[in-house]
Amino acid sequence: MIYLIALLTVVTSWWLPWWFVAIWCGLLGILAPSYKKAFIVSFLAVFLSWILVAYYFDLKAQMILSHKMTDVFFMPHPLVLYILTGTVGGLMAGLSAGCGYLLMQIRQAGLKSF
Amino acid sequence: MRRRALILYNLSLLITLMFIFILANPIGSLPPLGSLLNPFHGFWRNGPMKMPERETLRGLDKTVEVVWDSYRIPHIFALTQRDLFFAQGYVEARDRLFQMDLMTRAGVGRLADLVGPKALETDQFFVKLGFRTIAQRTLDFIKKDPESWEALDAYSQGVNFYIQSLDKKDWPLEYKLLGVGPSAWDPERSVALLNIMSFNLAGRSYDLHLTKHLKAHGLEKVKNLFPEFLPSRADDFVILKNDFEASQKVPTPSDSFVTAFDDFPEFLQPFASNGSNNWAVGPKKSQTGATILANDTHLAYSLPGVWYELQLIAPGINVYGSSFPGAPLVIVGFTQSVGWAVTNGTTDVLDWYEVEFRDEQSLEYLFEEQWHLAERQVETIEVQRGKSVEVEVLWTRSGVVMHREESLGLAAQWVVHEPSNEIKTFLELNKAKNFVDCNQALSFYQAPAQNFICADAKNIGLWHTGLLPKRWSQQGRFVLNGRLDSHQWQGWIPREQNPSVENPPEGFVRSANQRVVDESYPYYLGWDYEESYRGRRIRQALEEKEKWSLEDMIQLQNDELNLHAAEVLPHLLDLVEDQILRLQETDDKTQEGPGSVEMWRSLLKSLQAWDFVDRADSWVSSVFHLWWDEFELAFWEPNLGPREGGLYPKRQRSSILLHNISAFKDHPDHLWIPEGKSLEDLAWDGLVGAWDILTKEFGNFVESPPETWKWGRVQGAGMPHLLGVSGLGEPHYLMGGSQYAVNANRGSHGATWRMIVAFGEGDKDTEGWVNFPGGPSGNPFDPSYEQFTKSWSQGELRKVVFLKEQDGSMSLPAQED
Repeated sequence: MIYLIALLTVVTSWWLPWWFVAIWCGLLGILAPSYKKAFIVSFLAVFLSWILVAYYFDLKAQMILSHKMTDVFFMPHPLVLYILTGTVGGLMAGLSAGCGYLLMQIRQAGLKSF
Repeated sequence: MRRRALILYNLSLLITLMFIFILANPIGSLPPLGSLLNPFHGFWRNGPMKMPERETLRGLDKTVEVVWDSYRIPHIFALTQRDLFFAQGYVEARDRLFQMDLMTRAGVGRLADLVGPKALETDQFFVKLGFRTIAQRTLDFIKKDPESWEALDAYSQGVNFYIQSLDKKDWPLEYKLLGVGPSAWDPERSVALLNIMSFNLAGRSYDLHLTKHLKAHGLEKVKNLFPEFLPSRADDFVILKNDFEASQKVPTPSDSFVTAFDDFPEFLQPFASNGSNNWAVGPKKSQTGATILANDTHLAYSLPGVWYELQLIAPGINVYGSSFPGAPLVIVGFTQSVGWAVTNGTTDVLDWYEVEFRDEQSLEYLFEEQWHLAERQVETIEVQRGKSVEVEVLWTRSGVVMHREESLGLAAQWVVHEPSNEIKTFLELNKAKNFVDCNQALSFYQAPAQNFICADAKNIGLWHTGLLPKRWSQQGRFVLNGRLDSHQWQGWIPREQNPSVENPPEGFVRSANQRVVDESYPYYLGWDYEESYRGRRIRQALEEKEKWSLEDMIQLQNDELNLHAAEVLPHLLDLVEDQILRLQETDDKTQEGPGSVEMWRSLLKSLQAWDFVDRADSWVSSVFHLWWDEFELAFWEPNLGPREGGLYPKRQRSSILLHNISAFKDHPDHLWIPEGKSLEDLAWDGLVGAWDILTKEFGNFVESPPETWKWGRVQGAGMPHLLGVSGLGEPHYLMGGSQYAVNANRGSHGATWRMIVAFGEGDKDTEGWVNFPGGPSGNPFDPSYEQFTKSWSQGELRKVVFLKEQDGSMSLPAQED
């Protein structure tokens, strides 16, 4: 699942808006066995893929992107910027996947109550 | 069970949506983190662009070629003028789109729409001052000249061509930080940019400050402290001979009007020392036997820099120099045969009027005993994210109303309100083949008034160019009476009588924003010019040396001799000498280190030994500057109120006053010494004050002054990013110079474009040497963003690559000079 989300993120984000990842994660969250799993898997997938793509562009620019932006945000080290980048994407993904999982729970609770 | 799941789901959905919403929008000063940080469209995509050596573009008419030289400076080859400016718009937008957007928005009061409420006040000011109307009027005026209009329109299409090619990921970083995208360009933007430059250079007025002084101290004292002509040296003026009669006399009205306003709002003022140096030595004074021209323009430091260097080549045009990104053409530059250099003319072209309305709300105002209807416009200022504010713009015969109080209004009459076509001037300059062409190009020029030097290999000339109001002597020094026709401007000084000089016998021309003419000039030009120190130093140097080389010119641009210090420091030192002696008598012999007589003695010795050069590594220079500031404040504050928002006499006047008081016991200037103090007290307190500031802010003096006391650190020099984003600017450059030196570095302002043109003769090509802080690219991640700043801060210039028509791959006809 983690690979699927990462793949969807990396393949579709070039032309779709950045928040579109939330929709993939929401949909895939439906299949998750627990909220925790839905959250963690999506979080990690997007966290890592955002960081990797960011690193690719940073490397191409000889790391000047992360270095300058670290100063802009008064951060102590570029690593913090990477973690922030990953976390922003990861949290969005995790929360969305959680939504998907909880949507499924409503349906299942509905079925049980019949 | 189902209900619980429903609640949990809704709660989770709400949190997720809120989180995404926060990420997508700027919160306070925080940028929209999601759009900014995502690696697909965010800042991670703003890496430097790879520049090909040559690039072809599809122009409006034909193909255009851009050649990038090893400094990453673009040279544009086009087959038509339309294509040339189209490509200029495209290339400048690609490097500087955000800067262009920001600057041009300021010129029509639309900044708040881009950067939010913090710019609302500035927008309101410019809209009230009539900037939107001016832009429209100017545009209509320019349309009457098809060639100028074509240049503006083609440039605009070039910018739009670039904007249309942009995907969100390609937006310049600043847009991503603000969470707003670029909007379509139109020719009005370029006009707005030139108007904002007019404000920067010709928007200063001290009429309101002087009126306040007039009410507090009376006319005689104000005339004494703020004289029209300082008793300066005869050669302090830009143009030394004006031996002609005014073709049109201006009668002075007999009334003596004083406004009913007791106080005035504080209006936005441009930085007082926006200025420049220019000079040229003719063939007789040049080592090569051909003219050498020099220019350095003093504006605010910023990243990206205010100028954009480029070369424009098309049939009939081959020009190199710097443009204002956002407007077509080269603004300061040269061709193979002719060059031009500018400094701010500084002549006062903004006067204030008291206007009487029928009542508080009325639009009717009194003029020559009749009520007239003011022209009213209501403009809307959009503030980022939906809000908008309305501003009323009121036009009267006395200009645009900036403030109303009961039935009175305060109106500003400004030359820039007159429609003009400066594009035509620059178009003609860019195409100029010789000295005469250059001079003729200036006849279209109106504002902001500049001292233009035109030069070719054999000739030099300087024109105080621009539309100058014809006024009676001293008109506009204080708030004028808007009820009377006799208080209005009396037309314009005839163009042919604007101050000018061609090939003077001394073999050089020069200007440095100082007073243009002496008493012999038959029209009144106002009283407020830059101090003469820079101009005096340039003249002194040019007179001293017989033959000038390019290296000499570079050296003079970097000259840091402070003639103000040379004038006042000996007086100040005399004044504190007795104090030291007195200290010595009461000295506790056991005391050592800071505060001891020994320390003061050694400080005085260093000041006495100082050569008045504002070097970056001179700590004595720091002591002098702070000492003078403290002394001046202590002297004038009790007389004229706080310095901030107030007006003190020119340093030159203060220095004369210092001399008068020291030399003559009964001199009337004694009356300005604050009560209960002596000049000696003030000088001593000033020195102690300067010492305290240095110690508190820059570290303790332990046996020797710390590194941080060096003038280059105390004054500093920093390049802030245009939006003030820390991390995108460069806060510290160790640089010397001062507002009194030819190298007019003032920490936040200074030489933003240095240029020297050594004209070639016979087989020898004309050489251009330039430098500027910043670099070609406006992208903070591009290595060229600040590639020239270091060498510029060290005073170096680089020889430009001047391409010929045949250097492009298209077959352009060679220029005939």
